[in-house]
Amino acid sequence: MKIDHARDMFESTDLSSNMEDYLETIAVLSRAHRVVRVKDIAKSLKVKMPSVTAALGKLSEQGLVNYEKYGYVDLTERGKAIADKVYSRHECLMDFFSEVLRMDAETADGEACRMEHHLAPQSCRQLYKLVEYFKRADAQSPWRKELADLLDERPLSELSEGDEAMIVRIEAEGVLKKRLIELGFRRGASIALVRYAPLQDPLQVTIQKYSISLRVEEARAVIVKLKAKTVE
Amino acid sequence: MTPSANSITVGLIGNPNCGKTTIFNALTGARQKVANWSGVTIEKREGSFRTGEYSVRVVDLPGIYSLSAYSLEEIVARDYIIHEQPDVIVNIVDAGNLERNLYLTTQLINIGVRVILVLNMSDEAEAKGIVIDTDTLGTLLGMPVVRTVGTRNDGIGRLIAAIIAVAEKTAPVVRHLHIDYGADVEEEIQAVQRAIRTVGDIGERYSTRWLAIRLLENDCDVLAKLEGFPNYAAIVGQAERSRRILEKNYGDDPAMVLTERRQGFVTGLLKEAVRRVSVEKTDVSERIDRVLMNRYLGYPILLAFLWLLFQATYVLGEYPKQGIQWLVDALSHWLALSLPDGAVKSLVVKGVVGGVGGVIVFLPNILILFLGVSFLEDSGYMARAAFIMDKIMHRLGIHGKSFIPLIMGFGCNVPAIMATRTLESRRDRIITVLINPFMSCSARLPVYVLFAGVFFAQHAGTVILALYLIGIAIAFVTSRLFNMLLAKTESAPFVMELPPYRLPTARSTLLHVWNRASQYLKKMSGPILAFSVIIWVISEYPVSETAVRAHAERVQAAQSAHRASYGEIARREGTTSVNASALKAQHDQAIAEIARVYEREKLRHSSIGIIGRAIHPAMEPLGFNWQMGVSLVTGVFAKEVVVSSLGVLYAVNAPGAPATCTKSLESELTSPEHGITPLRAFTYMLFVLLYIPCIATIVVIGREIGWRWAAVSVAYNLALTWAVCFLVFNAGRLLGLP
Repeated sequence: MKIDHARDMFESTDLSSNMEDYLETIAVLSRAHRVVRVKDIAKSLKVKMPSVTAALGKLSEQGLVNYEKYGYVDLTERGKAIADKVYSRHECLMDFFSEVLRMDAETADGEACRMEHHLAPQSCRQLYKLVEYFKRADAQSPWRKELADLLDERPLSELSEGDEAMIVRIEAEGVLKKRLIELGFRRGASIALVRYAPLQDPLQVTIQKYSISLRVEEARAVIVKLKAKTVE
Repeated sequence: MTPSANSITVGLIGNPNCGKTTIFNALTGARQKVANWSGVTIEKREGSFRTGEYSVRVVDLPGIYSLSAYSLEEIVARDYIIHEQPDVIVNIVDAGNLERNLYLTTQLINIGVRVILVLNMSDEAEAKGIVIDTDTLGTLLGMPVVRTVGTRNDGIGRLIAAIIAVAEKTAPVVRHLHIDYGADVEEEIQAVQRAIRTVGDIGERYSTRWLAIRLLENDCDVLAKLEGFPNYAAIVGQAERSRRILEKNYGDDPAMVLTERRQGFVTGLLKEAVRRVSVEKTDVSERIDRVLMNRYLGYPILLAFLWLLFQATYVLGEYPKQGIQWLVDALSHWLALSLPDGAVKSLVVKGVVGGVGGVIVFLPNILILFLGVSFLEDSGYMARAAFIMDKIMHRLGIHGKSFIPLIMGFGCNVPAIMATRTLESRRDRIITVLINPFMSCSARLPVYVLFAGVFFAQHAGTVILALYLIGIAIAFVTSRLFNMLLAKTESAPFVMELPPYRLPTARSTLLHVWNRASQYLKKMSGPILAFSVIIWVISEYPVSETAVRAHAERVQAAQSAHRASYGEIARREGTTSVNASALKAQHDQAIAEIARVYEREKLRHSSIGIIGRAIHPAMEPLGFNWQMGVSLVTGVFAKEVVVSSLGVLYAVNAPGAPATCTKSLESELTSPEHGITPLRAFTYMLFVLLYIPCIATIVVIGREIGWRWAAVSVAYNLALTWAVCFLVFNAGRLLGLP
């Protein structure tokens, strides 16, 4: 079954994270374009062209890429196998962040890129099992709903500009609580984060079509549920 | 009918930014008076109008979001409604935002007063596609509902008719209404109500249902009100029990449960009476915000607005200022001619006209500053300025809203301190007021210009800028210091509305300015007159007999010398000859010189001179000579006076006065005999920047936050100034600065 397959996929590559990135990028680029050039690699990894050339030299020494100076780049069979491994780790992590942890695709992708090189094969395998189990589980089951609610709740202060959310509860006391209630912050109300001030504090929200400003510190007391926008 | 039967009292209440002031202005016109609510510095505005046989008194209550008695404004409004029992309460709401505005209405229903609901700005609501069925709304709320557009005077006639109908108790829709809080909450309300009813007469003063509800919400102010009644313990005990029951049932604060029920009532109401027709167009305010609060443009635009405000204040203010100056001069000239010589003439001309006139000439500048600030406030930009400045201000331990009063301080500290009224927390307000005098006001500039120009020549600009920056730095340090010293109270939340941008009407802006200006004049005229007289007394008395005698002798000697030589020349060459007129001019100059010496001697021997010389030991460590010391004492009255009194003390004409004198103040200051070096000059400017703000500022501090704080401000500023100047002067000397 799947786990056996996974065992293969999550083997260590014995390469540095840098080199893994190069192989992965070449694989992704060659899927999208007919040919892969040094320029394209440099652009998508945001590095300088000479760095790419140097790395390609090392990789071709190890027999992982075919690369002639000023020519096109392609992966050898062994290179392809390693790139696939790196990519499947990426996908597994990406699924974990976006589907299980319910984060937006862009953040999930970024997190996966940073983590994919640092996990031991064992961790990858366990994570893969978890993600697969989660995907098979009934989306309507109570525990999944509970988990989703828990994960989607966050303080208002953690929203980004343009996010829309629903107020779950107010965790403030005293004057602050009273003021929030007066201004229409209440359970179930829709709220949108319009912008942060130029110095990132305070922030402006709209609630019942009215603009309200509050400090980041105060926004921490307002627990909201992000309105589904990227998940599935 | 008796006159009292013919008079109706109306209380206006509503959220901030609902256009309450426009309705107030529309009802009463300019027949307004502004005062403070007793015991607090919250503005109380009252006006009146006549209609038919009625005379209607209108009281504008503070703009508040609810009546829960957390803030002073709320307590003021609530106590007024409960104790004064106005005949009618006019609840003004923004028709475009009923959901939030009607929350206050539900609390008025709880208190059980006669309310008229005014749907103001109904044109804006219609433009947003909000259709309100006023009849249904009125029936459901049990109160007349009137649609108005305050800025266009629309619906004001209908409102007046409704006020009369409600006061005469002929309005058909009025009925007493209970908001249903749900069976289990109602049960507890009734339980507390029963406990309250055991006290016989309480129901005559308050609605027992309202008391019960407020007790369930744990309202400290209501608890305090009940304290004197018998059975207090039993009532509180029942309330406590009921609160615990509700808390257990709902797992939440009972106040929160009741609030949600009230909000639920509003939601139900809106479902019945309000329809939304069109989809919302892009919000204009949001589009303006995108520019004005832009990450990169926000600050430059704010600076540009402030620059414009100050330009207008000085450039436009200069013309009326000159006009008023001319009038003051003409008046004092006329008085000087028509009054007989003597102490009375001197008091009137020098003391009253000179002193009060010296402050009055700044009125145009202050008015323009007020006008600009009213415009910024009414247009909605002020809240945005607070929004983008809050981070920085919060670091200093104050509120974003403190920014504007601080900036205004560069113009004049007096209106700036009055502008701190927008701050909610007393603590923020005290700190903002105390650091305001360090914002170098325009009256200090002439001193800087004179001294920096004389002693720092081509670096004058840099030195003046440095002084402004030092003022800001000291304000910063002071703010941190008082933040540590003042008892920590719960800081005012920054949760505030950013109202939609609106173009203020000329009428409302002018009324706004008029109110503030008349208040300024009323509040300031008494104390300034008093201080003017005091300053006059101490600068004129005691009169030194020796100085008078010496003066008379000198005049006589000069005159007899002149007569002798003049008579001879006139005889020889005739009175019109060149030599004769040259001699006459020479004589006039000699007389003027003698008069200047006399003025100096008089000031030297007057109380001010005595004080100035008495404090000389304290001034000496700072490197000041006695003339500088005396000029600083006169500067307590107004900083503008510093330069002119230096002129008197050095027996020269002050800069700007008609040049009848050969020596200028500039050359006199640099002459080696007075020993003023650049370092001493800089220390002196520093002293002028930091020490006691002028009398007008002290008065306004006393009026706004209490005389105790005015005393603190004076003492702190003096001590700080001395310490800073001492350090700067001695450090400079050690470093070998000239």
